Amino acid sequence: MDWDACPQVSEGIEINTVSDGYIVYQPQRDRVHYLNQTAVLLLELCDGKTRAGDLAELVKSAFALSAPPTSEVSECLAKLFEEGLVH
Amino acid sequence: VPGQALRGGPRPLSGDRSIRLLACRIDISVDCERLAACLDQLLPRVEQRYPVSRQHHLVVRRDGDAYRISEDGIERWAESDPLSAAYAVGARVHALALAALPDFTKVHAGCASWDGRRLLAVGPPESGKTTLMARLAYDGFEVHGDELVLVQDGEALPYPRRFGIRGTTLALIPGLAEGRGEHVGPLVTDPRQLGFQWVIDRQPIAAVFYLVPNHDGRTYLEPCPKHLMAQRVMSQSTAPETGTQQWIRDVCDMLERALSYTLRIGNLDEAVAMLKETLQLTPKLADRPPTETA
Repeated sequence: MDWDACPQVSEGIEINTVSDGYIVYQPQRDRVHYLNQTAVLLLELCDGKTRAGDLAELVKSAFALSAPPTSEVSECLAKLFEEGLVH
Repeated sequence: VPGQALRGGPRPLSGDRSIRLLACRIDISVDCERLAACLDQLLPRVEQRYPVSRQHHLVVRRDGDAYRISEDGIERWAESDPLSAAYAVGARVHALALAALPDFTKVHAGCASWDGRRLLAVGPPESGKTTLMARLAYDGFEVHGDELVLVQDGEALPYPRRFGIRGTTLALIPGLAEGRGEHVGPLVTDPRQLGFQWVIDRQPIAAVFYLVPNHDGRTYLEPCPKHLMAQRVMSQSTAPETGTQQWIRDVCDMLERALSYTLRIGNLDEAVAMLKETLQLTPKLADRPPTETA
């Protein structure tokens, strides 16, 4: 993981919202992804301007956590990259 | 005997009937009383509030040892006995009815209303949908369907189909088991035949329950996150012809308006009480439009 990179949401995906998550459709791969609130927040933070290394701290603030959830964020971000939802 | 029927030329088509299934009206003409009786057992007669937009005509004629089936004037296929012909016609009738509504997402679910609130019970085969729906009918719910619900723009349109209740589950529904003695085979019936109202109309859903069987155990109700319920409903549904994007929108729109729960279904008394309690948390549906009877 390049923590200095600024990940960005991939183009062409369609985001549908439910009250506690996103249902994301990738037409290019004809795949559907079901994102919980943490994954939704990460996806929204992938705006091409925010460093990957800052994401855990931002998640900590958003959910009022006692410590940055570094490993969880790393795992979730890796999954978003792997699935092509961010680049 | 089929041969005898041919001696004086083709038998007259005496068994004319018209069946309505949502947007489709299908006229069926048959020249065999046994086949006609089988069809009457298979096809539902239900009050429906949905406009008819398509019409078809199926004809079954005995021809020697064959039962030739034509659709809208074109011979399609043949069966060797009246029962097979009845099942083939029944299957075709449902296929035509569903083909008339291509823009709906089709969800494997039972559907019932209680005190003006409608629920969807989603689940894979043998998760208990039919048993639960039959039991709800005897507990004051208005049951609409046990297997298939069409969803569009956040609303649900139950698909009218007769219920096939397994012999082994009859004992779980006291009202249904009474008077049937040692009946062990499946029972094909519907709410109307059981003495209840059976109405099909399009309404929003107040609550969605995903059924997980807990046979012989207690029943548990747990809130289910909507993004997880979306995944479950998608796994038990098929896309409209308009495509995957509309499929996802249909499911999300429905869930956004509804409560979402996992029902680990064991004891049916507990299940009924939990469903009533949950539905009471939701607002009543608006008053229904005037009836249009099939």
